[in-house]
Amino acid sequence: MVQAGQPPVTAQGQQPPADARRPGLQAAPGQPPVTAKGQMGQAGQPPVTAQGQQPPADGGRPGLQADPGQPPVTAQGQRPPADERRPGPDVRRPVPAQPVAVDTATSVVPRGDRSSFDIRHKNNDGSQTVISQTRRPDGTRPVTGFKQTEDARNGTTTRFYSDGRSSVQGRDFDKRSVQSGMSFVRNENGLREARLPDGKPSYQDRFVSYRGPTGEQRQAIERTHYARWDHGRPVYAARPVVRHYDVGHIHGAPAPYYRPQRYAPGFYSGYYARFAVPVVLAAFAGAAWVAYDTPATTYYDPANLMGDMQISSGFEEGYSYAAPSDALPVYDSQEAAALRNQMATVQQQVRTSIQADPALRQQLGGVDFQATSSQVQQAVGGAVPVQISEDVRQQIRQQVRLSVAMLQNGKPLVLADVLASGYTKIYLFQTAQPLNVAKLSAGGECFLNTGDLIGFAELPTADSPVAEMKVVASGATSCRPDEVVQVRLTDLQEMLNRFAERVEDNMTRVTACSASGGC
Amino acid sequence: MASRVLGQPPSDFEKINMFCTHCGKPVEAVTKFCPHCGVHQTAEMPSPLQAATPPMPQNRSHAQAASAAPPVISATPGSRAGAGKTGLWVGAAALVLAAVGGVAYWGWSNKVAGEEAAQKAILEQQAQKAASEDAARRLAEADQQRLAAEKVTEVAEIMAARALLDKHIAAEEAQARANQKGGPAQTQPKGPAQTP
Repeated sequence: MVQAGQPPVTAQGQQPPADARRPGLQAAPGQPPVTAKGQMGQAGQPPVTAQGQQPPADGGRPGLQADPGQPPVTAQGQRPPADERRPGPDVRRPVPAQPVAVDTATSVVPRGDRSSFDIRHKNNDGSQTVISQTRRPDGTRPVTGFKQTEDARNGTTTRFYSDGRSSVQGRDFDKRSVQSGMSFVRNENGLREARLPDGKPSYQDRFVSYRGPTGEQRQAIERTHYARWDHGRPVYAARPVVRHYDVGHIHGAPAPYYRPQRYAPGFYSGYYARFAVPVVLAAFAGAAWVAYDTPATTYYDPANLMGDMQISSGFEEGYSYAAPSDALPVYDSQEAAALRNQMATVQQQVRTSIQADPALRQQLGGVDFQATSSQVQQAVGGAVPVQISEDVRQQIRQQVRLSVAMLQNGKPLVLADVLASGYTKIYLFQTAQPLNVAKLSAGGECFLNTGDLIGFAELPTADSPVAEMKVVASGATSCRPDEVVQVRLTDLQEMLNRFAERVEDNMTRVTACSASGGC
Repeated sequence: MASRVLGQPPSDFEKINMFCTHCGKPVEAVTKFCPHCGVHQTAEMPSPLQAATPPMPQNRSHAQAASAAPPVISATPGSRAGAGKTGLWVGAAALVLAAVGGVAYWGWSNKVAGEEAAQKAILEQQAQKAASEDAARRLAEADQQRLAAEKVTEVAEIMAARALLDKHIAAEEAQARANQKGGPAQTQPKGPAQTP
């Protein structure tokens, strides 16, 4: 494990020592870089259409990317050539079926057990609309879709989703916008930023350098928080909050590790002492955003309150991001409504074409086109409390307890340590920022919002930059629980960073609650 | 009716104890004319034994027995043709009965054999079904055992992982306590110098 005073990562972008670290998190010397093309044997194979036509030139394979538009990272941290960018990184993906052309502009790609499929439609303006219908275990068939536009000059791929979200993939960055219009940017060099709907920064990273204990020059990332989006309005900090991150690498990709704040000695003492007066959880977000099997409104133990607060504040933040700035939901925006109308039209055209063409029916036998556009709205859903099991609740409480101890010792939460800990199987990650992730079970993609809890479905292999994660608890618009999705290791590290930051924030809140007797 | 087995000479009793059909006086059986009244003895002459013995009731078993017994001829030459006809009829009837019985037996035996075959097939099917059910049950049991074993393994892994997490927490908390007691005083956040 990481010793106190010894940061697990070195400055100037050096690799962390190979001692206790999981070797898979470093670029294995002598091993060929892992590229998307190398992992996906079928990526270079042109699918055959019914009429022998070439299918739409990708972009149209959203379900096969961990993050739409996000190019895979090689072992050396380099981006592969543009022609290898899609599909994204992969470990074990379902083999996609071959697309069947319905007409010159439209094709259908069955997925999984053929109750799920994609419809790809080329628009006159050069963009492409992709409609995805999936079948859930409960029998529902939600329909999602997006319109994708490629800009060859800028090298960007933009997707606008039917629920109001959007994403932009550039050559060296990716950007995701949620329903409120708040956007999150992840740069290839490891810097991140978030912007409010009006374009002003919520937080922003920059590189800084400092001298280490032995006088050597070290590089770090400084993140300055200016404001947060709180249920439809910006809340500016009285003064910017600055956090620092040491720069490490995971498979060559920069991965910042949160460096704990140093507080006065008694800062965490309140965590270990029972409240003199029980703290009543009144209108705190916990009651609104999560539902426990044994709900609690009065807390005697700060550790229990901190654990529950960790869960609820994450979901609260996620819902806050999605809340639009005006009374009109983003879902009902003109652009989103137009896209959904087009999706319904294309679906109807496909149904009609298939009914009129026996050969098509035979090719697409078993594919169920009965979902209606109204189910798109069901997929968007509303803000309902997220059900949290007692096991998950207790596990998060334990992880918070560990974080509190590690923060006191000045130790960061490092993914390599978690992977080497022996308790990886039970460790949970709390989504830090909105993510689009690939579903490994039936193909396609889904959305992870801030606060969603995931755990390892399988441990990542030594040379894989991604991990198979199982959704444990999630909001209404997110990937469903038990869904197995693919998440980048760098994003997992970001989740650990945000987890530690949230513990610090909540400790401050709990201290205030203890003083006032309520939260 | 006096009768004897064809080819056997009349016994002494039969010789003496015949009676004239006209005057009723005793005559020898071989006598053609009654020595008392001179009437030709053409009709049957009842013997005292036959007269004293009531006729035996004819039934199916007797007929069948008769069919199996040697042919019987009338004692008198005049009744032999009728008796032969009767014998033929009896024989034919016996043959018909035997044929009908044979056919019935054949049908019955076939029916029994069919029933036995059907029953055997049912038993075989039941045995096969039982065997397949048994195999399926064994598979299900094996699956259950495997799942149970996996569950046990998983629970053990989870318990072990929790123990490791608890151990890690205890170690970090111990270190934090040690730092607070003897460590240097913590200061306010100390960030790196910013790059000009």
